[in-house]
Amino acid sequence: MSNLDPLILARIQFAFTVSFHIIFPTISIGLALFLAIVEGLQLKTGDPVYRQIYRFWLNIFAMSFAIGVVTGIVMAFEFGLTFSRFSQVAGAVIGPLIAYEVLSSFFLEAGFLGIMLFGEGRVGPKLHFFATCMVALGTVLSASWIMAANSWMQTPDGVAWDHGRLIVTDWHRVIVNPSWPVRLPHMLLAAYLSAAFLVSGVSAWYLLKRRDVGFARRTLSIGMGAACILITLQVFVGDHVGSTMVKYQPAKLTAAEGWWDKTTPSPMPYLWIIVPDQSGQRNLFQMGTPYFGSIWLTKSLTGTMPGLSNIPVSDQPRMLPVFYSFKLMLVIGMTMFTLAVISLWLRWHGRLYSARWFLRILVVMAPSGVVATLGGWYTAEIGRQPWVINGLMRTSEAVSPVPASTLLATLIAFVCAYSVFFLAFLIFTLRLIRRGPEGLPAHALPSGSLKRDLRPEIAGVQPYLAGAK
Amino acid sequence: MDLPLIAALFMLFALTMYVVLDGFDLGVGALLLAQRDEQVRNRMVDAIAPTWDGNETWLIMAGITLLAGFPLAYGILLPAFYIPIVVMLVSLGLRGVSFEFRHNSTSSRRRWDVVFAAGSLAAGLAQGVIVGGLIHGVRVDGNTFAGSPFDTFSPFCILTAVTVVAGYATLGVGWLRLKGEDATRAFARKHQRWIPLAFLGLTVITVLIAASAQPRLIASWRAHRNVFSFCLAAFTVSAVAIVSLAGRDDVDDHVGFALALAMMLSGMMALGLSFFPNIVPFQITLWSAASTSMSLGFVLIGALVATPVVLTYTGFAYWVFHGKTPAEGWY
Amino acid sequence: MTTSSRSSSSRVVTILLGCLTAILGFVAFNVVDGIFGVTTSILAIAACIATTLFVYRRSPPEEGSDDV
Repeated sequence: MSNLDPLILARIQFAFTVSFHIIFPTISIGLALFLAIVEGLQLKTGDPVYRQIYRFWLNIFAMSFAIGVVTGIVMAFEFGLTFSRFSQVAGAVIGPLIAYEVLSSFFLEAGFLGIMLFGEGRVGPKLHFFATCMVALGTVLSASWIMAANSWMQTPDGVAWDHGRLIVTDWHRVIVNPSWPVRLPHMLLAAYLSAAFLVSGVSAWYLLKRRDVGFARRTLSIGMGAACILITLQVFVGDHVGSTMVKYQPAKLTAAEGWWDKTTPSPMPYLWIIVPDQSGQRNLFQMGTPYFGSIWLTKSLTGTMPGLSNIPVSDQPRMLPVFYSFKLMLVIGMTMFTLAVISLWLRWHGRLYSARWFLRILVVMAPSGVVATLGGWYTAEIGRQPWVINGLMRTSEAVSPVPASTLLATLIAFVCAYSVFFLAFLIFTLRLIRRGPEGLPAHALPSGSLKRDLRPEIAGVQPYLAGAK
Repeated sequence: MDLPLIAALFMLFALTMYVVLDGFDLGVGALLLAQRDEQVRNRMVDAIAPTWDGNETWLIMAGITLLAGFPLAYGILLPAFYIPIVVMLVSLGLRGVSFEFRHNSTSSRRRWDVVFAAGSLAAGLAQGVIVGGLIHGVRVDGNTFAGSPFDTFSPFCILTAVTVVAGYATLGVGWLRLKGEDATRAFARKHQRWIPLAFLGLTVITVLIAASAQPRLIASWRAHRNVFSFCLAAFTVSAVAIVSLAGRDDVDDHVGFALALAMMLSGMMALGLSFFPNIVPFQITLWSAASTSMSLGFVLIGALVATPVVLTYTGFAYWVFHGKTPAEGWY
Repeated sequence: MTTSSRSSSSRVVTILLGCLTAILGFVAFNVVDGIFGVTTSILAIAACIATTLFVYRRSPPEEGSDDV
């Protein structure tokens, strides 16, 4: 076991636990807002189909939230378990940010989650809606603080060295560090898009199966409507994240774009496939779209940019994983954009709920948001290497004095436990989806004689509810 | 102002909140092993389901206060207790997801109950091992942990592990008696007659062995003689009171839990006092491990503003679910 | 299947055209503020959101052909 490198094992363990963790907050940040919107619509319109949607997704939300919480507790300790020297050097900066996350968000979420899940018979509908909103707010606050902490590690500011430790000189500059204002909305939009495509994919499946049609139509309508708006914003914000990288983390950006050259050719193609040779500092193979690189990256027809070999070899990230995780995110983003445009077209022509080819694509796209989010995080985190705090502390200096064999044993324990979590989550979620939403209460179905007394949108939904039987 | 001391007190507060609140959760979880009737098990889980998440958050609060306020100690203690902490985290994870998974399963509910109970039990045991390791002391070289991750394991830590679980079970039966009706309440009453006594006995043995094995403890106890004797007396009286009152049907159902709280609070106070003023037992004091006042002040302002609010809505959440757990569950 | 009355080949062409427009749109959105400034790009985004809302108001979920 002595030939195992503790640094590599510590990095694998941290990467594994954090990658697994981020899947669930992504889902629950998005679903929390979705649930708040649905419950708000229910309060406003009184339409029972919203209650059906709420009850159905609440169950899936509860499971992803629980996994998010327990894997999140692991993260709170993982800083010290695997990277204790990082905690000693930067604990006074990172610690307070996470302390604020706990105080402002975790308690808020936890306090109101019980009411949200079990309180329906015990509190009034307005208070219940308030609890849902508080949970949704909690997820946003949580994202804000953790993005402040992570963005500070990408673009550190407001600190100084003092006897080998980092001390804070200006909290405002630590929190509102250069990349936080763009990376926070980027992450929030990613979470909301993930939920939008998740709920759309599931309702598309119901429409394909021709069951629970009223429920599925309404869910798909909310999901794709939100997706259209969100993807527009995301594409815009994404470019700003890129511009911040150009300024503060050029190594990451050039690795993500696949260029080694001291100065790229003019006009610069946009690379889609590369076979990088890190030791030779060149690509063995590359393929791209002419002109697009210049247009996209420099906003001109012939612009160029400095490649990765301008950075000293010892400060370079690995190009292969950074490039492909970034391209994965980008391609999914472009697919989402395309689907949003098509969905508007279909909706205009009244075929959104019947175009089977489109519904099939949506089913496949159900987990796409989560996959893209992971791709984005790999770009961000691998692209920051070899630094743990960009330009200030190397990852190799941060690792804990724990023997490799212990790290390996606990890595295996985490992999086993998390596999159980993930399998059980998948099995139970798929089972819930197959079982479908609970039927509407009998009295909620508008009868013919009542029809004129109901608001048009409720009356209008009736044939589809009947069809859902 | 002595910011490091205030931060340490806040950390002790968060840790005590955790031990008291998640303590009864874990205790109820471990007691599932002793209950064969699935209906009663459902009621037992329902009794803790709406609030467990918030209870567990206090653990994060304590851990992160250590990171923010005493990064040096955080970086020594976590590698030192690497193995029991990972065991605790994995167990808490299994316990936490079992809440949801048992709810969503019918045929495999029994299996998830076993996972739930085993997770609760293992988490409690791991925390007890950490307590044993802390009493034992941590080997430090300069600013880093200099021992092996196996240092924490000793015959003594088995004793502390069982003691902690007995404490959690004492809280757990108290809570069940409070929330349960009929079979659940009878089950709690039955176990209330011996678990607090076992906890008392184990604690006395632990204190005696700790005193002989760790001379530094006697010095701390002597320095705070009065407080320490008060804690010990309160602890003993509460334990005896629970046991003698538990069998009686005319005693209010709140009494057992309230006395269990008194036991835990006095125990935590005595434990905190035993290590004071060290934060890495018997090596580094809290003042030499503290962050700058820039960081401590920032955290404490947040804590000062947020804690009353947190306690208010946590109290509200408890109030919403006050009284006996309904026989048909919350759903 | 009542998905569409069009022939499948013309549908493929439509999809491809749609994709091309969308990808160009994606790039355009991505660079818009770099070339035209922030005000223009915010206006463009507002226009897109308005389009979405308009389309959604005009065709509520209860309308549109059913796949039965």
